[in-house]
Amino acid sequence: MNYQNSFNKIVELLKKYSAADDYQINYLGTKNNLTRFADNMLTQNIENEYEEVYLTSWFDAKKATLQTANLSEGGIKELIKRSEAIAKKSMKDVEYLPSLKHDQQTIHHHLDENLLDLSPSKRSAVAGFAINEAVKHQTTAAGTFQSSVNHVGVATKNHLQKFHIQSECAFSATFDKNNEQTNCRASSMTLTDLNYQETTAEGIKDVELMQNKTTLPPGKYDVLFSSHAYAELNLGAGYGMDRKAYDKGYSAYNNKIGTQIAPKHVNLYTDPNFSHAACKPFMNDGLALSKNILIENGILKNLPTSRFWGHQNKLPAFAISNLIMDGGQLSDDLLMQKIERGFYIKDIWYIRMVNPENLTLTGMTRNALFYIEDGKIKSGATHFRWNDSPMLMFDRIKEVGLPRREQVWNYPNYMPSVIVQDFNLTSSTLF
Amino acid sequence: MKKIIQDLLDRSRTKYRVSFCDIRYKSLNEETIQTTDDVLKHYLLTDSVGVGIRVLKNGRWGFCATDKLDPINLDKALKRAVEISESGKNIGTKDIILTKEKSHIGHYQGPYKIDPFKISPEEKMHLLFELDKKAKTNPLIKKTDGLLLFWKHHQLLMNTEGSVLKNEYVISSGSFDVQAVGNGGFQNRRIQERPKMAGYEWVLHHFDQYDILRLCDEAIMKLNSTTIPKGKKDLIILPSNLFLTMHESVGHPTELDRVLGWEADFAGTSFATTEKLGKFQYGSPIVNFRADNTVASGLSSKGWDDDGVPAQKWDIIKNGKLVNYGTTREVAHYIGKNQSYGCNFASTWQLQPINRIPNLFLLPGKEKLSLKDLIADTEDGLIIDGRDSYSIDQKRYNFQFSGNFVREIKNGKLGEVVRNLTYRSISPDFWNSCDKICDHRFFEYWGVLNCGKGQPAQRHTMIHGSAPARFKNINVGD
Repeated sequence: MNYQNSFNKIVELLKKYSAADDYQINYLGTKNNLTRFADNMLTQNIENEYEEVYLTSWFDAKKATLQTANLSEGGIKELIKRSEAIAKKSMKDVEYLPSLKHDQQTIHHHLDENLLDLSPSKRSAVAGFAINEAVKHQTTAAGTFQSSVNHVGVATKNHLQKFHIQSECAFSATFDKNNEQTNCRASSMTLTDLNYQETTAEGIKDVELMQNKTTLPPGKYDVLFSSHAYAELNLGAGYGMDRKAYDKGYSAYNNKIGTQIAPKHVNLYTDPNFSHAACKPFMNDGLALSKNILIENGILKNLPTSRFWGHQNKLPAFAISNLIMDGGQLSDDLLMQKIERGFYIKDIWYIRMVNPENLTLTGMTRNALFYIEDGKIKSGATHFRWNDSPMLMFDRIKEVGLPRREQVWNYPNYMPSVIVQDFNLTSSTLF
Repeated sequence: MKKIIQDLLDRSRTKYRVSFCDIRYKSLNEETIQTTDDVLKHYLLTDSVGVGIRVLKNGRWGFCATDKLDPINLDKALKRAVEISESGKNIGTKDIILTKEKSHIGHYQGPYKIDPFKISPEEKMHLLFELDKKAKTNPLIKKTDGLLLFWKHHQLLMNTEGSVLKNEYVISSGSFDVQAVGNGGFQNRRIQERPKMAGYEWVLHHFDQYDILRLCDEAIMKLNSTTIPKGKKDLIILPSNLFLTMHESVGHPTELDRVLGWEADFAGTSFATTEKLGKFQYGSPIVNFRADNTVASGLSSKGWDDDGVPAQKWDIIKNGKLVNYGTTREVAHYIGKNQSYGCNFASTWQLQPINRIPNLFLLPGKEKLSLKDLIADTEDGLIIDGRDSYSIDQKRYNFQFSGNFVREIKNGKLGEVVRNLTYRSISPDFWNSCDKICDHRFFEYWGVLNCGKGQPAQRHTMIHGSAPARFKNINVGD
């Protein structure tokens, strides 16, 4: 199927039939596969493929967005008719700005053609590998192998037209032995870079290590976050990152732009063209995304700004497409040597906001959690609830280690493992 | 469509020799109106139509979904679903086994009075902008967020067992947040979303229950309040907050697929394992949880589930003891059941259904007890209204929740407002600490619109009801 042709045809139909003052089209053509296993059996095996279009029409700054999956000429004409009828009766968008014009952005696709038609037997075989390894090591495996190819297009009445193709594949497995669980995962833009065999071996090694477990009291500890756990946590740091909220006084980052919020070795930025975590390089409205610094040498430099807020306050508009933090050279094993007594947290779970005023979040440790004594793993550890603020924690980052690509909630990130001082583990659970 | 589907089902047996096949045609319209202050952030109307084909062959599932609904493409999708299931042959140590189910033919129509899709978008936007105008008469209210959601669902499910099941319903929901800024901080209050299988009349009724100016005053009371030190308190939890605690600490742990480890890789497992069935004291003897997918306007009341099993009513916890689970046809046989309770649902046509929480209720106390009497009976406690933060471990033991509006109770009387309160417990300890539940006059239910589970993530809807209840000696203020 040629998605780009499909998108181009829709753009032409809009040019021909739209009577709106302004419009914006967003297109998605997607193909997804997922093989799911649990209790050492295949539990789901899914494939789906579909296209959809969202059309936003404006009349006198009144807008409406409608979606359809009927991409025939008749379907698009109907979409235009309905979208325009509703827009005329809508309320004025007081933040309306004319849709974006054509720009000179060069767009690179991130496509592995092997993922365009991955055979069901190849997918099932990956799941089968994890199950066989689990059986061999007297454990139980649950997990997924998934791949997707997304074709995303945006076009406006003002002649902007952009199209991007991205493929992704991901493997995740949770191993259970004697009610102790560990998880391992990997994600990549190409099939050849996805080393699910090595990943499986790491998960099985961890579940063996978790068999000897210690219960320790809650409290403030120095912890080593794996790059995955830190990527999960750092997503939470983004909650208050909005320039309008900052300027109006309801962001946790209030009064912090230009101040030192982290040690000098902390640099955090977003860059859709960063090779290890590349992603769609434009916003839904077509705004070109590029590298933007959030924290530089520990100083908070900038916060994401919408087009409207940027226009009104003469600030450049930008958004977060992914998060990248500069890393160091040390592996997790070497980082661990710097901790006298603390924990190695490989995964965290169920993260929610507790206090947006200082960005305190809560969550649990999950899967592999190791107690560290004198720089070495002493044992597995009973899990904890934690309450802490990723924003305030920036200042407690003691060391950064080797960074890795970490896909979190469909966002590719590139995060190092980090040592954080005095992480607030507030209570224990029963396992 | 019925004829095309029947032809596909016939072919699945005669040509592809599958042991089971079901085909789900689903159309879902969603209308979302989102405002921030006096700005219309989104007006979105979506229309998703497609077919999901699920086949079982040699004990392995194959599922293929498409939005190309002509017979040729649907036949391709069927063929692909069969190829997918055949690719799993000899992989894994166990087969998928379905419990038996009779064939059913029927049509379920959810109740509603006013079709929200027939009300003009302008009128609906006006509802939110009027609230913003009123809220902004208070100078400390610096931000408002409004949200209206309407879903119209139409599904036709047919399977090789001869079932032909249609269901149609409308879901309506609305919420409105006000944010007060001052004293170097910010705090909010809200008209909490309360989704229901109902029409536009429900949103109007729900918004009418609130005085927006009072909510603004309460947000300012929160702004001027203080936190309380870490300790233990007796909590009176109102249904507007308790429904989510019930959902997380009873609803999810009693989904049988979790118990069996089928969600171990993402959503998690459960402490309520099968050897505990009939023996485990989950709560105090006054704690009774009943699942009911037959209740009118319940968000999980859809006539039949996506396995073609009729909606039912059953006990999950009786006199405090764990007595049952929510099941699907894939998992029911693991606890010796020969019929599923009908909890298999997929959120969209693109995805394969999974075990979901049913409508679930904490039954009201049998003794006559009003909320006023319960407060008067509490010496040193807190009363918690509205949902806020919620988090629980992956086996569903350790949870931490917070409320949107919390007040102290001292010697049977309401006291000061408390800021940013969290309460934390271990699920069975919490339910065993429940010593009083108000009677049926105070029973109310709330809805969950976005219960997330599965890989890829799916959402499901259900309602949870209770009367205000008291829990003794709970950890607060972590």
